[in-house]
Amino acid sequence: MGDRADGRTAEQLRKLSIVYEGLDRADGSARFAFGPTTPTLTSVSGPIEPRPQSEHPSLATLEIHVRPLHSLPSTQSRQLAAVLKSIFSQTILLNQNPRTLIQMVVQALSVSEVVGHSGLGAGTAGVYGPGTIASMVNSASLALINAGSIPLRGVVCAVAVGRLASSSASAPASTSSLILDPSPEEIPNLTAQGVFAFLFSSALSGTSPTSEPPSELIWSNWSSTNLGTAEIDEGLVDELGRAREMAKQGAVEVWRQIRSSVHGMEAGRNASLELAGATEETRGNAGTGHANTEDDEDDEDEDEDDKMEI
Amino acid sequence: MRPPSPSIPEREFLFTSLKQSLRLDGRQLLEMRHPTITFGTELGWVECSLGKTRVVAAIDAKMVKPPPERPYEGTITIHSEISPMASPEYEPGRTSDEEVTITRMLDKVLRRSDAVDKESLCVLAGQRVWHLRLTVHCLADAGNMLDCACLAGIIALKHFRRPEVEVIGDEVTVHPPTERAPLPLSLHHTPLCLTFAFFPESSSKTATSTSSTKTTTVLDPSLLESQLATGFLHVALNAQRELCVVQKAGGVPLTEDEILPLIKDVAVTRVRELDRIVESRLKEDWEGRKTFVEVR
Repeated sequence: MGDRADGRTAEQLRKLSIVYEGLDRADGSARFAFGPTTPTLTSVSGPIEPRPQSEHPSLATLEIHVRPLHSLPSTQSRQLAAVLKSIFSQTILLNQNPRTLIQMVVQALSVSEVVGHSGLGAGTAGVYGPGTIASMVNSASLALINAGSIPLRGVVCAVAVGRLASSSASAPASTSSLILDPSPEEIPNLTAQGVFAFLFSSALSGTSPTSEPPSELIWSNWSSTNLGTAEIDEGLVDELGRAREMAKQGAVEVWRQIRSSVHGMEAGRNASLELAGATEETRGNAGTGHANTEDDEDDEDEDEDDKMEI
Repeated sequence: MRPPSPSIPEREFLFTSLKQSLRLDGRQLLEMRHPTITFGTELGWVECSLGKTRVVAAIDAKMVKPPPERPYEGTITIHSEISPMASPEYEPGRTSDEEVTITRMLDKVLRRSDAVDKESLCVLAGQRVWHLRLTVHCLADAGNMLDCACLAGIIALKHFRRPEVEVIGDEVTVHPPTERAPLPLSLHHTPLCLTFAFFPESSSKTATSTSSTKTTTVLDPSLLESQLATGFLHVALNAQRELCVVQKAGGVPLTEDEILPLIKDVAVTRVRELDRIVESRLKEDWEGRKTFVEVR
């Protein structure tokens, strides 16, 4: 038991929720959430036919759309889409399927991290908090795994880290207290926050003490909000290192839970296929070759599973 | 990118089956898929699915200054852009026909049908009114996203609670949900939308004969049925047998003795059933919430 508001210790994640949605018209889809408050849903379709102007002769084209819960996508959505594109361009093996399109849509399903909750009648500014951004990266990784049709270098897992405001403004940064996966109640009290995304891949060099593959930091947006009042000293650089280390432990935990959820994915898919066979729901669609594509996905998923066994 | 159109064997199979009053998913001709309604943790967040078609609707409210020509009414905006998540054939930035139909119908059914009492959204006349924002996200398109979207929209409006506001003179105080129980929106009625698809009796491609060829009608078309239909009729009614919207934009010409029975008999009964389902789901959800939050 720790001393955060919800009883967690500084390095404890909230309960993760991973659901493979099985959206009908997407090749892969998954919903991820830290605790009850940051659900995001990603759908992946690919490799599919690209638009003629975006076709690339030697690489697959990656297209990512980020959509907020309320209203239309804003500038921040586009910025986040560019960030996700840079992360996943390094994760997906784009040269394996040239002249095709890989299309991902990331949908935020909640706005609980907005400063000033929506219940106050102030509307929602459409801001994505750190937990939501980390959740988007994770649900995108899960959707890619679920699709099974897109070759990946590895799995990207992300977590958010925050620095709690210390009692004295001039306290050195080397003693600041960092927390992992800040909840919406804790976010207004943070003086620094950021998301760290790690790529877990057996293709990377390096060893790890436990069963997960080696990892490298692929993206971060750590930023401090009180630099005007604090001096920039060695302590701040060390603090970044500590935050990174804490985030890595969190990402390892996320990776482990993703790993164990993959078994459930196969079981869920087989169960839903059986159910579909029992009702006439998909019988009618059998004529369109629907059954064939599901078989292909099963085969590719088994290959994906084998790759992860390494 | 053009979506792959249904192949000729699929066309022939569908038309032959319909002539024998069989639908490919085993439903009766005028049977709807059973709607599944799930509520989120936030008030005004609802996910509706009709079979594999899934839509999420969420409502958000803020106080704004009203436009000078209507100082006593609140405002509602509806966002319903379809993303490629619903299907790769929807390109972002390019508005497809389906998206235009959905946007226009949502506008007619939820805004122009006067479902929400806009005057009750007024806080301080001429200065502060509530601005409701309904966003509809189509997650999967397995046919008839329109009915699903309208259903999700109206349920979200019924589910949503706005914070209580106290007005003393010219001062407006908004009470957060933790202090005072939030209030429901005041809705005049609950319009529900149904879609009928028409297929020609003859399987020839040119179904434009003016002699009245009797058409086969299905309710709540699936994806393949929507792609192969030769006409659609969208009807929005409420449970009090009042007609809110009728939209038939192009498509195969129909006579009044083909349309009126659909509306008077089929639509009225279906809407009553749907209304019962909606009310019971809302009630179940409230029972669950009452245990940890006071709601009115």
